[in-house]
Amino acid sequence: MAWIDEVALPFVPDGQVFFSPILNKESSAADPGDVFVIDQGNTNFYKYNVGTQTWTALTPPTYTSSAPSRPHFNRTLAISPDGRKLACCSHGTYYTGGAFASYRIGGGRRHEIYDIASDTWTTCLPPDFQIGGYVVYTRAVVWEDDDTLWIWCTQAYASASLGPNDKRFYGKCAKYTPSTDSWTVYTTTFYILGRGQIDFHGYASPAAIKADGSVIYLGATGGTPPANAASDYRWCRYTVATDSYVHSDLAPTSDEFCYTYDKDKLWYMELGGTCQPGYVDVSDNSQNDDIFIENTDRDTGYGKYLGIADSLVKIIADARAAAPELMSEATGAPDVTTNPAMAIGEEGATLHGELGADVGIATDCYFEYGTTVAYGTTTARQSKRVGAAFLQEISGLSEDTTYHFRAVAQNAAGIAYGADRTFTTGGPPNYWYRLNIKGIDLAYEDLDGTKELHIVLKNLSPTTKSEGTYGATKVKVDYEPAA
Amino acid sequence: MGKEVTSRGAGGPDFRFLGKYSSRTVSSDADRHFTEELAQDESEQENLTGLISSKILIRNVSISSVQPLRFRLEFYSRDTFTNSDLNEDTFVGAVELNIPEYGELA
Repeated sequence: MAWIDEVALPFVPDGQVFFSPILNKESSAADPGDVFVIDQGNTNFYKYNVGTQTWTALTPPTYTSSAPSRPHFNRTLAISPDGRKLACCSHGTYYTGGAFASYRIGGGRRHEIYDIASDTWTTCLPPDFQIGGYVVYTRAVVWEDDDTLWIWCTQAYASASLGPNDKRFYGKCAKYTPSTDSWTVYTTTFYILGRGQIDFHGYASPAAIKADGSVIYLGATGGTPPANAASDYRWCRYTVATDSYVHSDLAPTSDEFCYTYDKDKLWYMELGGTCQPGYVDVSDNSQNDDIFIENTDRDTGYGKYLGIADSLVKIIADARAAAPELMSEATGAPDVTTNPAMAIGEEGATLHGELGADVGIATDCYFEYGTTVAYGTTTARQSKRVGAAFLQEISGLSEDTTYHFRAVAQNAAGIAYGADRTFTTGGPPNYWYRLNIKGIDLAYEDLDGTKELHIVLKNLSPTTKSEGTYGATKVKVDYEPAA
Repeated sequence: MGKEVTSRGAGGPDFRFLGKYSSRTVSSDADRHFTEELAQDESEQENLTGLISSKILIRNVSISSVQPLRFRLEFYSRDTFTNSDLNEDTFVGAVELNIPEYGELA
């Protein structure tokens, strides 16, 4: 395994750079290997394909961030379950006035939804509710289904009992329905940060959801209140049915959550340690460390911005101080499948294979074949980067013979073999199409013995008549002596 | 046996010879002669030798093909038929063998 260089960003980032997951869904409007990239400003929104290493400029969202240096504004791109839409927090703001002048308070005032197929954004209604009498900021989004978004909203305020200098942060999960542009708000507001921790308000906020939609998971939900502790190691679960929250901690507490969208995982990394990404699995609340190796070229402060393939075979990150600026990691040996042979003839066949999704680095794909499992013959190599089907026509085979073959994929990380399959070359076809034309009555004579009767068979079809027995054609001419 | 089609076309008068006649079947050796690859409008020729008479009437044509394709069988009296300035005397006639429309799988 190794982190490898991708091509450079085609733009100068305005603030931080955020990623969607690396997509590889057949039902998606995106192509396999696409990852969407956006910065905190409003001008840079691109699609990058890790297979072709090409960038495509896209229409940016409607709202920018007005926050100076945009320190607390999460734009992580959440892909909808059907793979056709992206949602992210937008309309970033930064509040410095009033009773909060001494605190940095910011975030998104709303979210926007991007339609991949049409390259258009839809602006969503800002949260129409408040926390502590103040408008809330959108901090993280997660799709429950294609028409339901859960939005994690936060705000800080000081209660009368604590006094004006003891402002605390609170959060609330709210449900947003895109088709009606409406919110569903629940009662409970959750205390997430104590005094002195307000600076952490905008820290990485991954959100995830159980498969049945019953529990929402939120990362970076505060330290141990009211102590002035780091915040990113805490996470919480919101149970919709009971409108209640429960806190949990990462271990060690030096772990910090990442700016990464994954519907069923909360990603984090141990920034003070190996910096290897891991995740909290929402299916069983387990903590799974060191899923990817450390990217030693990452930039301090940027290492937590990740795009990860759902299959967990590839990750992409911003490594701005390195050149080029995007880096990705492919896992070990590629995965390859041998598919059935097709177009089997007397002396040839077409072998089919498939490279596993998101291999990510240049991978040679080819076949081995022969009359035994020792194979003995290797086809030409085809270079691929992302999962894709590949095929190879072979010829020179013996008639009525069984051949073994398997697909092979090899790259710098290793070599993989597909399962052995067999096919048997055919003999002559045992069927014919027949047609008789009668009553032609076509006269021919060669009275002086100087002529020869020639027949010419011309193919009028756009389909080519094959060579050999697979294109065999017999013609019979019936005639009689003429008077 | 494949479907019978008269040379006058479906629905037209049937000009098949109904009386008795002596005949000798001449069959091109298809396994050897019509096995070339033919793209659209490409052709392959065969010389029919050993005719039992210097004056004949071609009555029927049968085709058997592994592929269901549309062919035309042309008859020439010389092997100069590929020349661009064809001598009219060399062209005897032609019959279309539309297997996709009229053929049967046997």
